[in-house]
Amino acid sequence: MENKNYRVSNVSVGMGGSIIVVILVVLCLTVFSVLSFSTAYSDLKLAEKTEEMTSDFYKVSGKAEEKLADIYNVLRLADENMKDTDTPEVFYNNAALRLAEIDDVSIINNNNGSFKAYYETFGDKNQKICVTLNIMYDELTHRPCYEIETWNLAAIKLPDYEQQNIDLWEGFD
Amino acid sequence: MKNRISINSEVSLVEIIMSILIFAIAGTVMLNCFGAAKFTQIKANDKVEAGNKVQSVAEMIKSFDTSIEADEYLTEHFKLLKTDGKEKKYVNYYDKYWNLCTDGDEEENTEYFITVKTSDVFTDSGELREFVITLEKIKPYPFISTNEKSCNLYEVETKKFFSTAGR
Repeated sequence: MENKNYRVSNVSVGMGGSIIVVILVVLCLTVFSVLSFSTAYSDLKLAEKTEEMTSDFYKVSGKAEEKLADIYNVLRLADENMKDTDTPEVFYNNAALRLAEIDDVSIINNNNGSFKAYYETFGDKNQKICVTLNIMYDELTHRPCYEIETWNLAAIKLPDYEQQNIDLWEGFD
Repeated sequence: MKNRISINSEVSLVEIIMSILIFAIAGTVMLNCFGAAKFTQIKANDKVEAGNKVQSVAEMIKSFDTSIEADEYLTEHFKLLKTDGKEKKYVNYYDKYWNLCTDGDEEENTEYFITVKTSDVFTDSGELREFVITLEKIKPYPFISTNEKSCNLYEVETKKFFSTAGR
């Protein structure tokens, strides 16, 4: 027959001990679940913010393309009104006058009689696209053409760093 | 001979039942929280991947000089879903690992799909085309999506002017 030797320990869980353990475990798990959710949520917010900025960029780019189409349409109209005997200077003068009628398009005259057109298109998320076009007249084909000189994405409003300068040696008041 | 330690426990049945009850109630809440966290993270990762795919297509379209080149690219890399006058709709399907689905396994493995809608705005002096690129997930995310048939992950809308003159 097997001889059993029982040793009685003084360790006692006691009344309410198991509930305390359960509450502690639940508390730990709750903290972990909330932490993991907040990390995932901040990742999602960052991805959504990026999406908003990207979507706005392509919208602004679309607006810039639309204005480019308007400008080219005006150049075509200026070209259609030209006579065969007219010189390119007549085209430049005519086109510059017509382009000045389009909103937000400014004309920069070159020394050789040709000109540049500059415009900006604005987005909702503090970004704009600045475009400079080199307007030319091809005397061989007798057609107007343009060259995109700049197509830059920039911020509409830059942060004012001057006011945020803190003299480290002086510290805060 | 075996030594055994007997713990002098004074845990009543009521206490055990209470513990289980507390754990069950808190467990359901926590399980929801863990589930929501998991699928929120998956959605965030999907949004990043969707952004890459959508921007890649948008940049390709913007890089073309003529509308014919753009059309060729879309016909070569996408499936033409429908043509309605000046509107065309192209589509591509992806599996759960973001691999392009082949013709045979589209229905079984498709998890995400990208659609490119093109439409002509006007054609006075060249072509001004509007592109709407959308990436969607077929099934909604459990725990976080409510009553949605599909989940829109990313959408980009842009225009491109293909002129007859040089750029």
